Amino acid sequence: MTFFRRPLVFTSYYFLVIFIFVLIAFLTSLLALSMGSVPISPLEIPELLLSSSDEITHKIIKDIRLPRVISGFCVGGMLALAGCLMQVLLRNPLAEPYILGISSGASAFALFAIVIGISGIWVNFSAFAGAAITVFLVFYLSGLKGKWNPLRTLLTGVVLAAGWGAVVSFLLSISQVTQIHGMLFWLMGDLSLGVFNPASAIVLIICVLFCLFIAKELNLLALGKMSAQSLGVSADKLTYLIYFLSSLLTATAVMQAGSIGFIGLIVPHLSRLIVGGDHVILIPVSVLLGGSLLIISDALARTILAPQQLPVGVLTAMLGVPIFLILLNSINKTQK
Amino acid sequence: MKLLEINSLDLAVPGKNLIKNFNLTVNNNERWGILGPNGIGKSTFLYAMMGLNQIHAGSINICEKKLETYSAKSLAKIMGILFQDYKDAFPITVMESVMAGRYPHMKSWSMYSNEDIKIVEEILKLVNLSDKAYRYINTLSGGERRRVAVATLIVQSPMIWLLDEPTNHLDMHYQINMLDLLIERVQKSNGALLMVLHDVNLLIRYCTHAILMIDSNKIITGKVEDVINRENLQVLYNHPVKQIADNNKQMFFPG
Repeated sequence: MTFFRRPLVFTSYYFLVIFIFVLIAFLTSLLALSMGSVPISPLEIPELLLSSSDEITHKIIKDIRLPRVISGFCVGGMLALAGCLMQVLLRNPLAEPYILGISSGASAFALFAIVIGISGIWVNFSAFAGAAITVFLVFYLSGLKGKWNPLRTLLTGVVLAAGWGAVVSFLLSISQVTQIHGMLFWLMGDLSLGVFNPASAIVLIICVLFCLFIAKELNLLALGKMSAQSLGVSADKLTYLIYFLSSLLTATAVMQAGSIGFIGLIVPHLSRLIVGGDHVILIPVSVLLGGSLLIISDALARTILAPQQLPVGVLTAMLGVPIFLILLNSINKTQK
Repeated sequence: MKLLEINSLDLAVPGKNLIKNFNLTVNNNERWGILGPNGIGKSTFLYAMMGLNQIHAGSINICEKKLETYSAKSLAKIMGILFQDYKDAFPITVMESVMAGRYPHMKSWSMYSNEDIKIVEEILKLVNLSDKAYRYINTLSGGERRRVAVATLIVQSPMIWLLDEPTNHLDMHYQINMLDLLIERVQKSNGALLMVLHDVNLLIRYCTHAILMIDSNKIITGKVEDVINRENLQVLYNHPVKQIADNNKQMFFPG
């Protein structure tokens, strides 16, 4: 691990690390494309993607699995990036994209839409509206006195999340049995709803570029607002920007796939353990790792109990938790 | 040049006036020590000069320009602060932490260069932390963490140095060692220093001028030899003070 942890210079080292994680994402995608009810060898996949035959395997890959893999990568990347940003914003390593109630707001609105009989893409839009309303509420309520205070923001978000949680329970209790299964997938996260939505790819790319541009400032803000300001960062402006970007990422991810847990919490930490706390490298590595983890989780969710599909949130937790604990433990040992 | 000029400054926190109608001019190569009882507003005063909290009236000029006209980054090139305490939310290495001091000198989009790393390594040597460069700061002792903060400020290399209780957590050796180092750097930068201290004898040893914050309306400023005496200190701390002379140097102890 010590190889990865050194002062970062814009050299071959940086690109080597990025290259390794791009490779991991690529191999994961190949693996995920090959898994399913019709097994296809990973070696055949590049050829199938490039050809334009009318074969059934070609159709399966191109029309069914590929959009799902891309959408998985985008959602995983967005959640991981939102996690990185939230942790800096709230100066709290336990912060994750959903901590400010964004996903609960989205879920409550999505479930409400399902209960009143709306279906299709409108449920997703309803979720986005719920997320946006929550973002605004947290911002307004915690920023009332003009001064941003991470602790008050955190508490406001957590309490709002609890409130939305009650709404969700209420909606679950009054809805019909036939609707409950679909609702559960919303609450646990599911990529099968999502056809590949170009909006999420655009949001991800723009946010990653933006965050790379402010990576040094993020490093300083992680030290604390006063330290950052005294070292030359306009801390207030940066705080609002981070809040906006992380909310946009989370809302887009939730709209696409429901609330998928653990990625946003575990991936930034995992990346921090591997490459260190410098956001210049932490951000691209988190995005790549988040995307990879969600792709492989989704592939397993599709196949592990086939033909039954599981909510992908179950798999992200099942994979993420042990990986994280093992790595955390091994780092602790080398530290001593 | 007048590095720092404060005109009829009013400072307050909710429910309490800290400073009323205060004036001060700090020139190159002056070293000001700030004394005062707990909670009188010494830290708040330092923060105000750094633009970290609002002033209620008056004005602050830095290098003969209004404080408000500086961007955060241009101010950080001229002025730096050592905080009383540091809370680290994330485990980062000593190297990464000290590197933060280079930020005001870097262009946006640029990454740390080999030169930046050399500067940081040199200063880590000075604070005797070379062997801990890749340790996480949350595994350091209080005194070691303090030296990391001192190193960060030296890397920032401002002209106006604000130190909030610089000797916190440091043992006797490092108290002197770090203050010697900081003062050498202040002189090298041809700048000025303002530091909050609770040890009068350290103030006498290192400072040319002193600010005694007795209450919001009564702040005594002047040369150390003029304002640091037994009477003033007894009033300042509301506590009896003993005076001992050692080789013509006056020393003060609580009675």
